[in-house]
Amino acid sequence: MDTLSLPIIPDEENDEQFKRQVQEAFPVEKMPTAPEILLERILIKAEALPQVSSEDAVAEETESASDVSPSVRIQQQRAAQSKVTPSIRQVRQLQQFNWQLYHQYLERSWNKANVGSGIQF
Amino acid sequence: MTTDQELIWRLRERDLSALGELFERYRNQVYRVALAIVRDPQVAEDILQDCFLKLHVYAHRVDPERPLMPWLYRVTANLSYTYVSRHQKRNTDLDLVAEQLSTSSAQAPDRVTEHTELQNSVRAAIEKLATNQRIVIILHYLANMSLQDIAEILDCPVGTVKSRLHYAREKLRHELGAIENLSTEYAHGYA
Repeated sequence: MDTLSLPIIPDEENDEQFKRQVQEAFPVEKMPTAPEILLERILIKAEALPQVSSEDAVAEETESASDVSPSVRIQQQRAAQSKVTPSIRQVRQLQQFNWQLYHQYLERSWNKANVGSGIQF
Repeated sequence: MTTDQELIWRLRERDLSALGELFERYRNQVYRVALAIVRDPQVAEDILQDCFLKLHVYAHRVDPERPLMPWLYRVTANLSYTYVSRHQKRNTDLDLVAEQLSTSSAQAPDRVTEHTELQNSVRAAIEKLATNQRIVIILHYLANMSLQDIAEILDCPVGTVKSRLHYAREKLRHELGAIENLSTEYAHGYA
């Protein structure tokens, strides 16, 4: 009788007993809404929602609810990152290119303004 | 009985009766796990709805060759985690006390009261865990998921699941051990 009122302390040996205790602590409870009504609501909403095709699903891999394994997900994340990195590099190259252009512009302007003066940039 | 595999294929063809059958088949498990994590029947019901709507929307992403339950638990865990992390600040120990007071009946027979109190203690101890640990405990002990399955559900390495389980068990040992000591002292008339 006493053992019934005492909680089972979880460890490797009494894992099954602890499992039973947790199952009892969270019994299957009745939902606030009747399941038929809930299902009706789901079906009405589902009818209005488009399904994501398998191609879209691949594109939307960052979505949290996916069934891929962790290793596949890491590979996909790395692939996605490698796609991002070149574009960042391109942006940096572009910024550098603009500076070069600006430098050339200054040079041309200076030389144009000082034509015949003997002073060159 | 129609297999899950067949139902998923039908669902991919937008056959909503298949969604209905899957709902009937798994609603209790999904609701139970959601409720165990969020501890709010209305929110658990919303999570249940969202979970089956996602099943409909992402039916093409579900592998019909694999068991459906881990996929449903994955969505449930994600939705529950999002809810809990958004509402964590509002949860206080007072909520737990209030729940314990409302669920334990003073007029019930001693045995039933003891049993309910024990269940409340277990629930309260699990609720005190960090959300990550709580989800692992619920998936392992309530949903009967293996560590490998939990790793896939939570999208993390098995080692992480083992570590969360280890620390969760330690905390539960501490919480439930304190109750056990208190009960023993009471039984021996020390309190």
